[in-house]
Amino acid sequence: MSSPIETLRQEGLPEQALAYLTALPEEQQQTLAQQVLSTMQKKDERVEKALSRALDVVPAPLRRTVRKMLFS
Amino acid sequence: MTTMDHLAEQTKLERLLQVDEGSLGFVAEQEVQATRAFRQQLSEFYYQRHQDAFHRLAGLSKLLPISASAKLAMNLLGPVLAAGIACELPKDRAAKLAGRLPTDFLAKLSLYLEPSRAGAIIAAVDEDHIVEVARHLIAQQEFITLASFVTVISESTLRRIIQQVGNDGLSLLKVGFYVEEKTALNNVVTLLSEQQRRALFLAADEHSLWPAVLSLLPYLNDTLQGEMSNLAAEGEEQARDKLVRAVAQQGDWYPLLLSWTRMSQENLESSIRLPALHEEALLRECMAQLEKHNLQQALPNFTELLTEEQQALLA
Repeated sequence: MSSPIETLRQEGLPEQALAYLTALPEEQQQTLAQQVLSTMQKKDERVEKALSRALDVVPAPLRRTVRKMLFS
Repeated sequence: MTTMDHLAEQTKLERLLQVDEGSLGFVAEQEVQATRAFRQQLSEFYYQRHQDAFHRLAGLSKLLPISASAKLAMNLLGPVLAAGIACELPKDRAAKLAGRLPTDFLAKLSLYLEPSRAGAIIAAVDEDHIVEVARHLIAQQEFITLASFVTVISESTLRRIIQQVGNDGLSLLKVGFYVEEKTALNNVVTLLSEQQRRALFLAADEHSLWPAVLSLLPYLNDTLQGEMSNLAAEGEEQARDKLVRAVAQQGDWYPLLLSWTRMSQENLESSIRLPALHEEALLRECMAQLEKHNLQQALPNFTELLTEEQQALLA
C-alpha cells in the first residue's frame, strides 16, 4: 500500500505543497498527509453523492439528458 | 518563535482540513508564509478536483428557474457544494440565487466560499443580505470566514458589519487576527469607534490576548499605530503591566517596542516605568530587544526616562 504522500502525489497535489509536507519531521509528515488525504476523500464522496442526488429534482422526461450532462 | 500569525495560520489550516482546533499544533512551528502558501495550494487543489462537477451542476442550475435552483441548493446539494457551484455561475445569476436563499443557509455556504474566487459574486449581492449573513456569522463566532471577506466587501458594508459587532472587543479582535490581507486592517481599524477600540483592549486584558492585539500593530499605518498606542497607554496600569509580562512570556517584543516609538512622550514615560520593567531580568531583556530590533534611535531618550531604580538595575 502506498504512503499518503505518494497517493497525494499521484492525485496531483502540486509539487510545492508536497515539498511542504516532506520537509516536516516524519511523524508530523504522516499525520498531516493522512489528514489532507482523508479530507480529499470526504470531499470526493460528497460531490459524487450530490451529482447523483441532483438527478432527483429533474423531471423524469429530462432525466436522461441531464444524466448525460452530469456524468458524460 | 511562535507568533500570533503562526497560530492564525494553524487555525486556518485546521479549518480547511475540518479537524479540531489545536490538533495540528506542530504547524505553528513552520514559517508563516510557507504554511499560508500550503493552505492556499491545498484549497485550490480541492477545488480543482471538483471544478468540472461544479461546472456541470452550475449548467444544470442555469436550466432551472431561480426558485428551483434555490431549492436544489438547499434541499439536495447543501452548503459545501452550493459554494463550489456558485463560483462557476455567472456573477449576476449567482447574486440572484443568493437573494433567494435564506440567510442562515448563506451563512453556512459562506464558510466554504473561497473569497478569491467569489469576490465578484459577493460584490453583486445585495448589501442588506450580506450584512444579515454577517450577523449570523458573528452569532456563530465564525470569525475566520468573516475575516476572509473583509477584503472583498465594500467599505459601506464593512462599516455596517462593524457597527453590528458593537463593543464586543473579543469578536473585533478575532476578526483582525484572522484577516488574510493584513493591509486591510487599516480599513477595519479606521472604521472602529473609540469605544470599540477601547473594547478591543479590554478584551485583550480579560482574555489574556495582549500578544494577539499587539501582533496587529505593525500592519497599521503610522497614524493608526500612534492612535492605538496612545489609547492603550491610557489604560489602567495593572492591565498595561500584564501586557508587558505577556509579551516577555511570548517573546515577540517588536510590536510593543514599536508602539513605544509611536506614542506621546508622556505615555512613553508611563509605559516604561511599569512595575514589570522594574524587574531586572525583564528590563535587561527589554533593552536587548531594543538593540536587536534597532529601535534605540527611534527612542533616543529611553534610558533618561527610566526611573533611578531602573537605572540602578542596569548599572
